[in-house]
Order: sequence, then structure tokens, then C-alpha cells
Amino acid sequence: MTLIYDRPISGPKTHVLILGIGRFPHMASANLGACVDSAKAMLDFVYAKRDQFLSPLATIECLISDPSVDAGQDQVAKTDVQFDPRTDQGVAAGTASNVTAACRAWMSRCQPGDSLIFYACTHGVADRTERGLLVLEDYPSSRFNPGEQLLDVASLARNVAPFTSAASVWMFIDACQETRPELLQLKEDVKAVEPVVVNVMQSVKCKVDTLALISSRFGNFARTKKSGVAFFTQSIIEGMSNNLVEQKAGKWWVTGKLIQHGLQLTALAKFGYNLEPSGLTSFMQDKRLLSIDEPVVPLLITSRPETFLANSTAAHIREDAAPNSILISKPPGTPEWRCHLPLVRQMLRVHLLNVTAEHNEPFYCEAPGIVLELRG
Amino acid sequence: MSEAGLRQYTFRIVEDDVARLVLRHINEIFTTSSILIGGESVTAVDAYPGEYIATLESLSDERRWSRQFRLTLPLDGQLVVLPKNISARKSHQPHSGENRPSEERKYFHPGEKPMKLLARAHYGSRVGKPPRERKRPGFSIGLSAAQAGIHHLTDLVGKLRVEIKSYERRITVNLIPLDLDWNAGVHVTLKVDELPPVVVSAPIFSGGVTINFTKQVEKPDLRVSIEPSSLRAKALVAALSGISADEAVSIVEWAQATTSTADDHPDYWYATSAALLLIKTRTISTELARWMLNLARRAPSIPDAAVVAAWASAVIGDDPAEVEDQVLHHLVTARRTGRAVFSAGQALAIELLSSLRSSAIDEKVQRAAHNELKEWLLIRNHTIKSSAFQIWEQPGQHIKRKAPGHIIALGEIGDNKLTMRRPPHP
Repeated sequence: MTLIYDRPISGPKTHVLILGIGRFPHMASANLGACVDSAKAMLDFVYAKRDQFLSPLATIECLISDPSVDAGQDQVAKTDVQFDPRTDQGVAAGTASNVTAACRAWMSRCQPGDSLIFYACTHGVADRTERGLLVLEDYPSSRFNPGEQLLDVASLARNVAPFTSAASVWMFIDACQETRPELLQLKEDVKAVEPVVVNVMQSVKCKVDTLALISSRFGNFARTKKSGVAFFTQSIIEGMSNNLVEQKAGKWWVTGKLIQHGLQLTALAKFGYNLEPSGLTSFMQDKRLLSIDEPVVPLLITSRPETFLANSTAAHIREDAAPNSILISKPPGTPEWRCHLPLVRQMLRVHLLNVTAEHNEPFYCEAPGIVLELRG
Repeated sequence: MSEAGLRQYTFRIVEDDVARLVLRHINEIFTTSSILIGGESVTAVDAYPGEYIATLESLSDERRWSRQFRLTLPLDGQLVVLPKNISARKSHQPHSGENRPSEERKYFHPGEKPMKLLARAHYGSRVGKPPRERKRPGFSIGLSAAQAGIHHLTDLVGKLRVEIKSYERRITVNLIPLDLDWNAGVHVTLKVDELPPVVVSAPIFSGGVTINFTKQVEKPDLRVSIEPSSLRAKALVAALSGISADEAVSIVEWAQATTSTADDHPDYWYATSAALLLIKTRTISTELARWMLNLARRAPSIPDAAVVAAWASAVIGDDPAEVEDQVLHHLVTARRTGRAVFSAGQALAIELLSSLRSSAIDEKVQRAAHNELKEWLLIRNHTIKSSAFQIWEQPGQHIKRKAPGHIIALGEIGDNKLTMRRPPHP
């Protein structure tokens, strides 16, 4: 376990645990650089937003298994000279023992009223009871119990809040829920790593819901490239940076509701990804994560037929109340128009000029984003 | 036909007019008729899904007209009555048959056989499509609001989807399905601005129900509200609208009052849905937990009530080993009673069993919980996933671009003609 950021803060604070596991010595073909790139992108994001969280960022714990280096050589650049307790840039690898210890250390740092954020990017599998299980670096080093190197992330999501008395728990898991024959054929239950277990009485008395989103549904894959930031991570960072916001007490806040319900639209409007995240827990509470000063929402405009938009001589976004204003103009020739708009919460208008006709399309600019299809 | 069963379809003509609608099944095995009154009123007609020859005949003294066209009433693959909307709308642009534009002649040929007309409507050719400037509001037969050219207007994320169909300037309210496996007589009232309210039966399948309001609205402060028309709907509507913990308690206290008094017909379904809502908001006092246990005793035929009891027994119990036994017993009872009606009931049962499986003190309870969990998952995976509570279980489900269902026909009714055009791409 490696603490890479440790800032002393009085009052409620946020503790972050990030896992990026892309090296699998026992399954070399499964090595995936995107897991490490995604974890580093999330690390940069939480560090950049350290003072914008509802409870300011206090600690970051990070485990990395980088397939481009040998075991023991994993590194993460220093985030902050003042608050980085490390002597060098080394971090521990995401083995089962390290992950268990890191999860427990992360939970033990949490005081009542603090917030917890967990992020993991690795391979994932699911067993017959549809649990989300994360594949850790040393999987499968034990032939007798393959579950020893799998992290039961559904159990973690269920048990963290009752165990820690945290004010809010946020978990983002970028992993598949692939069904593997070796797990499905097991007669007994898969004994996966559960860093914490609470009994059913503690569980039902807990008043805090955990928001736990995983990037795939049961039996499905989470898509990514070989390297670079994975699609789900890219979308969640984009959404939490810009548009998954609600206005509360005069400020724009990234909230659990918008993360849950706006992520797919964000991915579609901003990147064209068709994400299918699922929840590991039931979450319905009104929780705030971090504030954004000037939110912007993604806008995707397409047309049917495609040539209607592509062949337009001019296309602008205008204010509905001021038809002569131009907020943004479309570059020529493209059949899809992606752009960002400031979150103004008012009627705007797409004004399209073709050789033969003029087209006006009103829309309301609001979070989490806008997807428009013009009809030719 | 018998296997399909009668369904309720809603018809409407928009302009002030009165017309008779006669639906005649193409196999002559079923005929029904109804009077449609123009404006905002809707008329429900019970019919079997299938192919019909529809005759629409004006009863107005001023302008007599009649249309005959082929109509497909969709099946939607369900065996239970599902309300659907069919709105028929007369054109706002009057023009006589003699002065019909030549472009439309290409598209609609007087005397064309119904089958040919239908085929054209489905597979229509671009050649015959009227030019854009002639596109007018028409009638639509729809199962889904997932049309192109829409945008979200309100911030009622996950509750109601309000859309302006950009090409028609019509408001569409898509009410997502409530948390029911069957139509339990739940009705809700939808209001859009000052328009007359519409009472609809709660949709129970994944397509939801779409209500079209024909008012030109472009303003951002459009007021859309959904109100429960019954106690049963109250808890479910509360679930839709992101209720606070205090509001949940007040709803449950009302349910508690109605089931605790000497009421001859206490509504246990309402009480159960209210209890589930309370559990979801995680605000269970000991007193309410006792009421929940009592509820399960008084409503032994409702499986969800047993799930509620399992949760309640964990709240008020002292001895962990004893509590784990009780919880497991209630959950087994629930499954043996039948399939959970509310998806929230399923989710809560699975949550408890997942917890028991890994944390139960007794290994026998652990194993039993593991086996029971597999049973519940099996049941869940064979359940139609559609509910208000579902938005917590599967976030983002409701904003899929492609919702199930599709527009099967679009068209315009003008004087002496019916023009159909190709439906939007599903």
C-alpha cells in the first residue's frame, strides 16, 4: 500500500483509493496498459479538484500494476511535493495482499462524517451469484481457490458505509463483469477477498447509501483501447468536470443523481460512446460530491439524412431570445456536430442554412447534456 | 386472438369535431366503434391487437368527411392490458381535394388499396414524400417516445421525460413504468401547464406510456406534474419524484394509520409499497419496524410484505444469530409466496441475502442464504425489468436512446384524403 498524498485537514475530509491493475504475470495475454492510464487520469482528476470536493481531499492511496515495467518498478509521478510522503515515485503493486491492506487502511483513515472515493480499473469477472469481482495482479496464483486473488467489490460497496460511518461513499469501477467457465463451474461459492464484512443488523441500520457504478452489466464487457484512458473513466471524468451538475444553494454541484442518470448521455454526447453502466448498490440519496464553478454541457447534433447537416452552408447556435446572436458556429462538412455550451438553462436555437431552405430547431440548454437530431 | 387478449387503445382527434371511428378486423372476427370528440378529450376503445380497417367519419353538420385506412394495433408481446395512445389529428391547414398539391398526388393516390397504402406507409419512398414546408401535424400511432428530434426539457431526470417533438411542436410526456408486475389499479394524473389533466393507468411494461399534449409550447418553465390518483399510486409516485426521508415517513404513517384502524378494506398493497419506500430511504424507526412486521402477518399473500418483514426484523433484533435466522425465514417465505411484485422488493431481498451469505455467524445460514440468493437471482432474471424503483437498481436505463417499441405509422388527415408517411427510424 502506498499513500501518495496526505494533507492534514481538520473537519470532514475526503479519502481516495485508486487501483490501476494492468499487469498479470500469470496471464500475460491479459496485460492491459489502459488500466494504468485510466487510474493515472483519475488520480490527476481528484488531485486537481482537491479543494472543490464537498469535504476537501485529505489522502490518496494508490496501487499500480503497470504492464510496461517489471514488478516492483511501478511508479506514479509525485502529485504534490509538500504533501507527498514518498521519498521516490514508487508505488506498491495491486496484488491481493496489497489491495486488502490498502482497502483496510483507506477505511481506517475515515472518521465519521468523512467521504470516501474508490476507483478501480482492471479486468473483472462475475460468478453465478452475479457479484462483481475484480481481478488482482496475482490472479490465479492459487489453483485451489482462484477467488483468493479476486476482490469482491460488491461486498465492499455494501459494507464500507456501515463499517466506517462515512457521510458518503463513491465507488467507480471500470471493469468487465465477464462470466468465466472456471468460476461458473465451481461447485462452491467463490471465496473472493472481502476486506470488510459487517453483519446484517449493522447493514440495515446504516443510513448511508453507497453510490457504486461499474462500467458493465452482468455478463458483459467494459470496452477500452489497449492504452489510453478507458471509455467509462473518460466519461466519468468528463462528466464530473463539466456537466453532471445540479444547482444547490446557489452553486453547481456534481451529485449522485446526475452521476447515475447523466453518465450515459454524457458519454454519448461528448464521445459517442454507448456505455451501459450498472449499479452495484441501490442509491437514491441526495448527495453532493464536488462543486463546479462554470459548468458546460455537451451538445451533439446529428441529422437525418446525414447530408442535411453535412451539406449545410452555415449552422449556428443562437439565443432564442436574441436571434441575431451567435454563440457557436459549426465547422463545415461534418455530419455530426459536437460542441460544448455554457450551462445557461434557457432556450437556444440551432439555425441551419441550406441551399434551398432554412431550419430552426429550438432546444433547452440544461444538464446533463443535449442530443438533437435534425430532420431534413 | 384469444391469446392476445383485449387491450385498451386511446384515440383522440384534436380539432373541434366529432367523428365516429369504426374498427373492423381484417378477418371480420371483431368489430368495434366509438365516438371521438375533438379537442383534448380522449376516447378509450377496447380492441384486440391486429390488422384493422378503420373508418373515421365526421359527424359534424358543417363539414362531412370520412376516411378509411388500414390500421395496425400493436401487440407489444404482453398478455396484460396495456394502455396505448393513438391520437388522430385533423390538419390545421384546410385545403380542398380539388386543389391538392401535385407532390401529394405522388404520395397518396386516391383509390389506392389499403394494403398498398400500408406498405407505402411502412416502407415509403422518398420520391413521394411531401416537401418539408408542407409537413403538418398529423396523427401518430406510437408505443414509444424514443423519437428523433427530441430534447429533454425539464430536470425531472429519471421521472418523467418531457419532450417537444421539434417537427410538430407537440409536447410528449413519457411516463416511465411504475414498479409493478401487473396492473394493480394504479392511476396517476398528469398535468402539463394549464392543459386539462389526463388520468392514466400506471404503465407496467418497459415501454411506459406516452401522452401527447397538443399545445404549442417553447418556454422553458413548462410545468409538468404527476399526481397520484389513489393511495396505491402515492408511494410509487413518491418513488418517482425523489422523495426525502421525512416525506417517506409521512407517507408510511398514513399507510400505518389506514392499516391499523378497523378499516374494512385496508389497502395492503399501498402499505407494502410505502414500507418499501421507507426502507429505500433508510429511515426505519423501531415503531415503524414493528408495524412492518405486523403488515407481513396481515398480508401473507404479498411476497413483498415478507421482504419488508425481513428488513424490519433485522432493525429491531438484538441477537445477531437469531436475527439472521429470522431474516432468512422471512425471505424464504417471500419466495414461496410468489414472485415479488415490486422490483424494490426483489432488490432488497437480494441485498439481505448477499449480506447473509458472507456475514452470517452460522455456516448453515451462510449456505442456505447462498442457495436462496441463487433462487432470487433466477427469478429476477426472468422478470420484466421496468419500474420506478428500477432507476435505482439500473441507473441510466431510462435515457437509452432506443426505447423498446416504435412508431408504426404517421400520417395526416386532410379533406377527403389520408396521407401516411414513413415512420421515423426506430
